[in-house]
Amino acid sequence: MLNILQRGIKLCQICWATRRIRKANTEKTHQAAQRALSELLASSRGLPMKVGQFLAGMDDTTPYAKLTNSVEPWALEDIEPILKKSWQQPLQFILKNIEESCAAASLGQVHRAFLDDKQCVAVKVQYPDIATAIDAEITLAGLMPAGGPVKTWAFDLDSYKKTLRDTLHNELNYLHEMKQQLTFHSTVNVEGLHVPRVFPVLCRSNVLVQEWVNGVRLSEATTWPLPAKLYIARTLMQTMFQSLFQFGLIHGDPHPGNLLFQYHDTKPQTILLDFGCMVSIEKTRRLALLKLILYCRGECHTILLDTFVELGFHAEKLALIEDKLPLLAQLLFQPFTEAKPFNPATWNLSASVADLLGDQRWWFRSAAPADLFLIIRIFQGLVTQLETFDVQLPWWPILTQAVSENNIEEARIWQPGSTPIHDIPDCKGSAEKLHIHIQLKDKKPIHITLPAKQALELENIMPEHIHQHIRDADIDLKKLRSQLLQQGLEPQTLIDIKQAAFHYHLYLA
Amino acid sequence: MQFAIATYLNIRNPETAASFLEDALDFKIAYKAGYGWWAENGAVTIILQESTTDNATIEVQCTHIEKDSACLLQRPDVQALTDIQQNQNRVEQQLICDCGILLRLSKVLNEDEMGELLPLPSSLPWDNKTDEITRRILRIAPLSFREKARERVTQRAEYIAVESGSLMVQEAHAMQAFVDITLDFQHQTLFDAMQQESIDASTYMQNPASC
Repeated sequence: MLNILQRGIKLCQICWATRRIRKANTEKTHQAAQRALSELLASSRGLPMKVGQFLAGMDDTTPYAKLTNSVEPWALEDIEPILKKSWQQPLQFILKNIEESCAAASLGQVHRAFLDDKQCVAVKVQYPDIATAIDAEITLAGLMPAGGPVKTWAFDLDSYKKTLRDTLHNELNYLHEMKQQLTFHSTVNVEGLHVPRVFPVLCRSNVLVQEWVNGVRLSEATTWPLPAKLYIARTLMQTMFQSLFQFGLIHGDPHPGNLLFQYHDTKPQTILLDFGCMVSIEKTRRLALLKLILYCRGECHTILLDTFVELGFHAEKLALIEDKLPLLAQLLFQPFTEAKPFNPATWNLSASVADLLGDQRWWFRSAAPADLFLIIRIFQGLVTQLETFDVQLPWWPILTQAVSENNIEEARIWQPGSTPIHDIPDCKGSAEKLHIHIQLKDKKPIHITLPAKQALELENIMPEHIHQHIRDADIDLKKLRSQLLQQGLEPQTLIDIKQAAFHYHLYLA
Repeated sequence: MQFAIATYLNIRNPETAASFLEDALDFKIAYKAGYGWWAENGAVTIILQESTTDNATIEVQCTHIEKDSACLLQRPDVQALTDIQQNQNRVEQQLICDCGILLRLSKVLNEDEMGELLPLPSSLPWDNKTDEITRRILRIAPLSFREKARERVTQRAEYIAVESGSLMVQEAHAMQAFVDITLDFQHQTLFDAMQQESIDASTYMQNPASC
C-alpha cells in the first residue's frame, strides 16, 4: 500500500511536470520542463520510465535520451542477493567476476560479468518490486496512448489498456524474453544483424544472461560515412520486413537504447537488444498487410474494406469511410509504392491523412484494432531511424530481398473473407450528412460527419457513455429511428443535450 | 527580350528618354498630367521623373545577348560602356544612351553554355566513372527536359542498384536506367551516346538501327 502511495505521489509530480511542458511559452522553459520530467521519470523506474522512453522515441539527443542511455543504477551489493536467490547458488559458482552496472533500464539493469576467462556476458536483473509497481501505476495513472477526440468518441479504451498491460507483463517475464530472443535469433536472418546469444541455463523469470556485445549508440553511428549508414539502414529495414511479413514476430521497442552498432570496414553490424517487448502478428493479418501493399503497387486487386477488416479493423465503423479507403491505403503505404529512394523527411502522414479524412480520421482511428498502435510505433521507429541516419532507400526492393517470394506470392493470391455489414434500410430524404458536434468543458469542440443514413444507426454507433446522457435526457432512440423511417431523412436536429460539462448536438443537414 | 525594372527613373530629359524607350525597346508611351512620362511594355511600367542628374538603369534580360547588343549599337544614340563579359553564371554588357539611360544587358548561362556537367541528385554513392559518364550522356536530353531527366535517371539507377542488392550505383545500373526512362523513338540517340562513351550499348538495348 505504501508503495502504491509513494508511486502515486511520484505520478502526481510527473503529471504536473507534463502540464508545465504543455504550457511552456518559450523553448528554454520547454527544455527545462522536459529535463525536469526526464529526471522524474528516470527516478521512478517502471512504467513512468517506459513512458519516458516512448517520449524519447528514436531521437538520441532529446532530454529524454537520458532514459534510454543511462539512469542511476542500483549498487551491485543490492543486486547480488537477487542473483543468489534466483540461481540458488553463490555467485562465485557461476560468475568469475561481475562489475557494477553502468546501464539501468526501465524494468531492470545490466551488469557486465565473466563466466570464465573468455566468455563475457551481460546479466540483466529485474528490479525486485517492479511487477507490483507496474500494476499500481496502471491502476493509478491509467496511462493511455491517446486522448482528445479519440477518447471521446467510440474508442475502445479497455482493449488499449489490456494491450498495454499484456505487453508490460510480457516484458516483466525474462524467461519469455529469452524464448523470444532465441526464436528471433534462429529465424530472422539478415545481413549485418547480430542478435546476442542467450545462455538459457542461467536465465530465470527475473534474470537474463546473454553474450556481452560492445558497440556505439545510434547518435554516434549517424556520424559514420554514407556507405556505412546505408548498410545499417538496409539492415534495419530488412530486419523489420522479414520479422513482420515472414515470421510475424517483431521487435516492438525501437528506442535508441536497444540498438548498438559496430563499424567493420564495409559491413557495419547492427546489434539488436532487449526482446522483452515483441509484437506477434498472426498470419492472416500479415497476409492482409502485404496484400494492401501489393494492391497499392497495382500488383493485385482486393476489396479494401474486407482486407482492412482482416487486419483487425471494425467493419461497421470502417464501412462509413469505405469510399476513402483507396486513397487512404495509398497514403499509408506510400514508402512501398515509390519507384525511387524514399525520403522519410518528406513523409507527413498525419497531415495527409488529416487532409483526406478531416474529422473522420478519428473515426478511422476508433475503427482500428487496439494493438495497431504497437505496429504503428514500430513503423514510426523505423522511419525515425532512417531520418536520423539521413539516408534514402527504396522500400519495395528491400522488402522483396527480406521476404521470400513464396510469401509475397501467397499474399498475392490470398483473398480476404467477405465482411457481413449490417444493412441499413433505404430511407429517402434531402439530408446528406449526419453531423455530430461534441463540446466538452474546456476542450476543443469535435465535429464528426457521417452519411445521413447513419442517423438510423445511432443506437449502434453511439459510445455507451453518451447513451447514458441520452437516457437521462428522456430521448428514445428507437422512437427517433421510427420517426426518421416514416418521415424521411430531412434536415433537422436529432439530439441536442446541453449541460455545464458537455454539449452533444446531432443533426441532419 | 524581357524587361526587368524599377518603377521610377530619375532623368534630366524625360521626353527624350521616353522617345528612346519607345523607339528602341518597344515601350508604349503616355503622358499623364501630374505624373509625367509613363513607359509601359505590358509587364512593367516605368515612370520617368525629371531630375537634375541622370540616374536611370534598366536591366534587359536577353536570350541572345550578342545579337541584341549589336542591334542596339547600330543606333547612333547608343554606345558600349563595356564589352560582353562573363560574371559567374551570366554574361553582361553595359550600354549608355544619349538620353541618359544606362542599359545593362544580361543573360543567365545554361549548363551547356557554361560547359558544366551538373551533379546528380543522388541518395546513394555512385562509382566515379559511372557518375561522369551519366552526366555526359545526359547532355543528349534537350535543355528544357534535362533537369527532369537527371532526376529520373538518378532515381531509377539507384532503385535498380538496390534491387540488385548493391548500395553503390555502377555502370550497369545507370545504363539500364537510361534505357528505362528513354522513350523508344530516342533510343538511337541513346545508343550512339553510349557507344561514344565506349559502352557496349547492345548489352542494354537492341541497336535501333538494326530493327
